[in-house]
Amino acid sequence: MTDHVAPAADVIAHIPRGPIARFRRALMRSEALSGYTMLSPTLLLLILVMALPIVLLVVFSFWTQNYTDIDKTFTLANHIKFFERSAYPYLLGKSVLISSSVTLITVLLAYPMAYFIAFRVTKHKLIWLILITVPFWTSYLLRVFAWKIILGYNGVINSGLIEIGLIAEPLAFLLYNPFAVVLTLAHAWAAFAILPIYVSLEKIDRSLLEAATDLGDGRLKRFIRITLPLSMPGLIAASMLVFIPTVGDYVTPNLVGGTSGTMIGNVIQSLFGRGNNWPFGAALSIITMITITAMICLFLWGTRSFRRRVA
Amino acid sequence: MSSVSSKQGSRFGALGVYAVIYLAFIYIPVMFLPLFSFNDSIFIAFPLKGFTLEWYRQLANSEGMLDALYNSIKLGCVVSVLATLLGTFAAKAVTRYRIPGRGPVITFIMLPLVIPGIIMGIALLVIANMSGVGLSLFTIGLGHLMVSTPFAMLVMVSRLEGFDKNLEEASKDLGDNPWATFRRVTFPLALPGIVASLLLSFTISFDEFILAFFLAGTETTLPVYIWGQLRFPTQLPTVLALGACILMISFVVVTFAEWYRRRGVQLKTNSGV
Amino acid sequence: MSDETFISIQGVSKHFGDVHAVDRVSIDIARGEFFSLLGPSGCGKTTLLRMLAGLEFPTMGEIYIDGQAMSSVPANHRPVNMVFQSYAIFPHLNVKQNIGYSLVQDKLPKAEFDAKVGEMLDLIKLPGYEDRASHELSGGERQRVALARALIRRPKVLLLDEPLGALDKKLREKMQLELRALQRSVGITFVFVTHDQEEALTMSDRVAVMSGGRYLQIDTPTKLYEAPQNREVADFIGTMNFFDARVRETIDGKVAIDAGPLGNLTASPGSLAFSAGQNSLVAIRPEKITISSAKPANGNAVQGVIDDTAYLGDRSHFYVQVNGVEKPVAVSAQNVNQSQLSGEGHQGQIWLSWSDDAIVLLNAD
Repeated sequence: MTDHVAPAADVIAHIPRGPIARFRRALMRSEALSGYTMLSPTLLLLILVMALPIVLLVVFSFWTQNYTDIDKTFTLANHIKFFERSAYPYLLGKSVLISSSVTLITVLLAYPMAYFIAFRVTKHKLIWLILITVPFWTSYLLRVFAWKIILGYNGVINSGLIEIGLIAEPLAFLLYNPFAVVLTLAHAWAAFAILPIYVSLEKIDRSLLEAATDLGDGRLKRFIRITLPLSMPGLIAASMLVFIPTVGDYVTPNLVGGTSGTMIGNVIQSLFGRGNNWPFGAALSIITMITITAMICLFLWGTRSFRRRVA
Repeated sequence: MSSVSSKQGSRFGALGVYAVIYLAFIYIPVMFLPLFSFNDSIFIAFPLKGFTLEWYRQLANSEGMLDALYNSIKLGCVVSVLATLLGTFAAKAVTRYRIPGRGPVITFIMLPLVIPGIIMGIALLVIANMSGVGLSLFTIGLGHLMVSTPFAMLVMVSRLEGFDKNLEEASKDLGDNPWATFRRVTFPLALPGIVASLLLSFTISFDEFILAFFLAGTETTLPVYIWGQLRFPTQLPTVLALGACILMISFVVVTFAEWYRRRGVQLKTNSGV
Repeated sequence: MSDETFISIQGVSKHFGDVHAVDRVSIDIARGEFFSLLGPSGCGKTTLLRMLAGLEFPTMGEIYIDGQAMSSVPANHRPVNMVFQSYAIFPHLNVKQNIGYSLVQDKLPKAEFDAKVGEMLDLIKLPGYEDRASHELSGGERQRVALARALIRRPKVLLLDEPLGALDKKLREKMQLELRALQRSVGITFVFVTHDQEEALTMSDRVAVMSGGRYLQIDTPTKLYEAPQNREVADFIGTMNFFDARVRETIDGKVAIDAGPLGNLTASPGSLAFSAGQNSLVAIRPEKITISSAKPANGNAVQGVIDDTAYLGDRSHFYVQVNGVEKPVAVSAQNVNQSQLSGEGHQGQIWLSWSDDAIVLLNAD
């Protein structure tokens, strides 16, 4: 059983040498090396086009705009300026509040819909899924723009109501306020919330629900004790997918928000445009990002303690 | 599932009514764009005045629009091919190989999905400015590639997870080199995913506005062109016509892509996006 | 079976991170042998098989096939083919394309290609199946197609990863016999992975019993069953009764032992070494114990009470409580005549008896 078979000498002689051959042999043997070789173009792209620019943005926020030049001496002036003028923290707070409302409304509205597709639809699931997914991919700008023409002073709702004689004068309060922003965002991001919730509901093993019923849970109790906790990952993902991008949004406030519906994104955008103060704009962006991250951490901590309480 | 729904009495019930209302909420606002694009009036208001194709005729004669359309298509094609290529390789790496740090790597690639568009836009603007790379379709393309690659990867991961990895091993075992394995097994089986990824990446690039807004040089894309037109009230009907066209195209392309992609995947185990 | 070593696994280890899936294993397999790797899931048997196929590479050690070192030979260049546990039938190809998959490299004329595939279909007894789509095949048919696909280029070694696991019991037993007959007719070395001991014992020339990335014993099926080398193997293969014992002395190649409640016994040590005063284990198979109402005239015997019985048709199992033995002693008896069934004739105190060669003496852990 311990007979030693010596490899034939000619086999050894045939093993190719040299760096390329060595790399190919290493590729064949090491999954980690093969994997990272295949990942490298994507990782390289994201390092150059995502990570590096963000790092640079942080660095930029410590510099100063000197008319058309950038003064590269380190300063905290931009960050201090943010906290000195109460308008900026107020605007950021308002943005977070608007986004939180949007997230809450979107997720609450999306949950029953996702539940319906996951548990009630049996035959044409594919069609329902496609109906829900398609708006997710179509033009965001146009979905927002649609609301401008719907809510406008001479828009669809006002002219429609006048036409059927319900009102005599157009309702001015429809457009250009925070409510219009919340409504538009809730509509524009609806599909983003449904999909993750749907996926987490669909994954729930149906026998768990039957077991809960068998063990004496009513429908409401079963939902609270089984379905809701198990769909939590989807709820969390949905909330993050809606909350994070809406805080910095400037398209919606610009089109339907008016002065009272302005958000932090509008200020950042104008600092990189007409305002022309890039370092301060960078500082605002960084502060916004930090705020978002802090909110997310708070949210995750909150949901975790909620889950523990239910369990 | 049958025991769950049988208790409901009717199959749809109150939830079904809700679902229909919800779909109406999603679709009706957008339907006003095509509706008013055929309305024979410069004002977007009821009552409808009459049917016209005038706005579409004006659109077809608008040189700025045609240039922007050409740019968007060109960009969409390049971005979709590159994003699908990158996404396929990345998906293959994370589904087929045991690699250390798999979790963090996936999180990193998915980051563009959760970084607010405006932050990415200005960050790219800053780096383009500092490195002396002028703003052009190329800079927009880089931005679009960054946001569509995670989607391409998600589509490809769910497709690759949909078939037995032993199939690729069997092909290798039966004498195929890596290229032959790809050509004879991986590619034909991953084809629905590849087609879906191409179409979806194309629509993402075609519809993307925020990055394009910051990164556009003299040549603009279609959404940036629309944004510029919104300032002119007399242009609104033409914008509506353009919007209707874009919605139509996106709708058809995406419906086809989703149908093609999900058809093959078993609904029960669907991991969706 | 020739004694010539054909596959030589030398000090092979495979680590996945901190997990040592295969741990310094050395095995030699002869040309034309039907060799099985037997063990519970996670024992490293599949990893070892995949290293033979070239789908994994050893962290340490070397594998030689027909005298060639395999460490720099990729799977597609090895003279080895595999039948996968999932069969891995290509879903986008029909039966003919699946079976002829590896012939494409040879660029054969169409007639020759068809002839070769037809020959394989005859071999697996599925003639005329050429144009079936893969999803039209039953489990057993998929298994045969996978087998034909792996055999068509006459590999030097065929690797089989639990190929019968997905089939139902009747079909599995039929396929076991067919597979064995096929191996004899093609004369190819088979390396077979299974967690089913019965399967391994029925089909193999030799079996390696594996656990925790190493092998416990490599032997013929008879030796594994009749003369296990340690408690793990004795326990894993079939059912075994164990009794604590002490070696009193060794005389004339026999070992005298004090087996507590079983009294003083004499056993032959097999290939193991024992010395006086050593703790050891007496192991006896259930079917080698005889149950009777009266005390046997001579031989080893102990008194007990039947605790439980199980009727299995061809035989019955009795679980007998013996004073001083912790677990009930398992006894298996052929149901030769009806009066003996279910232990009806054995009320109250009964006697268990066995001969000296029924005893397997093992080292205590």
